[in-house]
Amino acid sequence: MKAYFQYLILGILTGILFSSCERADGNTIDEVIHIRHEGADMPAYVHGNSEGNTFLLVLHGAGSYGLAFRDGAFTSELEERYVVVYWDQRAQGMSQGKYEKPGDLIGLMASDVMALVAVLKEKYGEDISIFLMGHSWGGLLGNTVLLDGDNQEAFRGWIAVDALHDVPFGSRSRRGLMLSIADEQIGLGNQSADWETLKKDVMLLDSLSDDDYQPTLQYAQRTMSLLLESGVVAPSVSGEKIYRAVFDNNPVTWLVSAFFNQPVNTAIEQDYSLTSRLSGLSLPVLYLHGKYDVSVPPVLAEDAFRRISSSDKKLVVFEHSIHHPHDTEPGLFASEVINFIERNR
Amino acid sequence: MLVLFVFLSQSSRSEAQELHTNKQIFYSIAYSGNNIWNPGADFAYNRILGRKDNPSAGKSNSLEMLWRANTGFYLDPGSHGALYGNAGFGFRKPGGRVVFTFDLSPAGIYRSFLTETYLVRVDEVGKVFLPGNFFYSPGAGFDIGRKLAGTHHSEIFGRIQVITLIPYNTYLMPLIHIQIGLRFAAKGGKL
Repeated sequence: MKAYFQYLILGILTGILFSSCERADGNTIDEVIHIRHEGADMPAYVHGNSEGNTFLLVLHGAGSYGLAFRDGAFTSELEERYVVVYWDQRAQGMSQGKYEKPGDLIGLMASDVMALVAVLKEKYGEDISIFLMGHSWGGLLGNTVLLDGDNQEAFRGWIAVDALHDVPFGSRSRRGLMLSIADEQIGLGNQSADWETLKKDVMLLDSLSDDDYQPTLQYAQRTMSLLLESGVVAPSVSGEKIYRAVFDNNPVTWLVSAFFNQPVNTAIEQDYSLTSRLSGLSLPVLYLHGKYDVSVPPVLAEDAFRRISSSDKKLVVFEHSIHHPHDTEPGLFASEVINFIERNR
Repeated sequence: MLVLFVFLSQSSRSEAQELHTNKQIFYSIAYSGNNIWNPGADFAYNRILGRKDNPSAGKSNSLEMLWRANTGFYLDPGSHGALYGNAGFGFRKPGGRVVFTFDLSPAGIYRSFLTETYLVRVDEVGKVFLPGNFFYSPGAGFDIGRKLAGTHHSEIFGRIQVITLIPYNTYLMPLIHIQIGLRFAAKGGKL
């Protein structure tokens, strides 16, 4: 019986080993590692071409997970040239562990990012070039990381994708964007009656009132539906993305984690804002933003672009995208990211 | 023990019911899919503690109480693997060819096994030996079995088992195991 038990353990460990081992294919890295930091074990899915020693570290958005990005532009373009690190943040995706709810959650998550950077340098070499990319909530987290101490020195560049840096500003800006989109679509004759109705309802909202926060999000959802129905933007969900969500990711674990832990809610409760500190950003920055993003309106990217002190900075607005330009305009997204990385690595 | 006490005291009060105390033992082995498709296996030991018959309603109305212990593992490819074990009490309604079982396992332990893991403390980075986490993992299960034709000592069954990892991150995490397997009586026994 003891021998059978030993074989069982050996079989499990071998399975884990095979699933995590590096692909024996020259410059290709294809593995999963975990980062243990302050009570959390957080997986990092490391995939791509290591020939140029260039790593792109992706910070996912609220309620999402690292592998949600692993399709389209990321697999067909970016992994072909660089190593992409898809990381599940603390208490998100497949991260596990045991710890008390921290007092400064956002600060702790920022230190998790630097722990991941330390591991990447330990494992792949001190000479690797790391670019940080943050999407939506991941943008708020990335900005927090970069504005803390001398953390900017660890990165060659910052790619902010529909990124947040000021929660109250984001909330205040949604109403105005929805009205301008409605006016634009009415002018173009796209489903005018629906847009007129939406415009009438949105005009009743008070963008400064807490009571109108949830209704504003509901009208934002309606705005996105109308944009999709009108064919102004393409759907952002592909078959590959669903496959990643269901099979590569564990949907029950992901959804339950997201149900219990929403760090963006902490930011909302705190009216978290980095606006007054943005001038401290001096590394190369690329802002990529969807024109119709009613979750994080593009005016935030314009504001951040004006405030940062970086000499190498660029803002690209995606004309046919809402909140996920990497999914809806993958070609342009990949070429902008590649140009930025090649210029700065 | 409380459940057992209630079961026995209820049996002794009813004149129309008879209590049998055969100590039948049976085992089960099953394919166990964590969240359906993450492959694994589960092994269980069951011991019948007593049976309550209701002669007026026929054999199909009898109810057995059992003690159950199980252990299993699964692999979530690319993320982690895990070993777990549970113990508790259950009720089994043998009836005719179709058998229903429900069990609760307040005692449970779960150990995850992670891929290559690095511990970061201040500015120090080091590898972790046998990385993973222990969790307290109570559970519950329900299954439907069917006696194999021509035999009184084996069944096939389908089962759903839920175990909850506590505390997981700052709260908890349920895991769903969908199982299909074979149950068989210990030597000389009947199901």
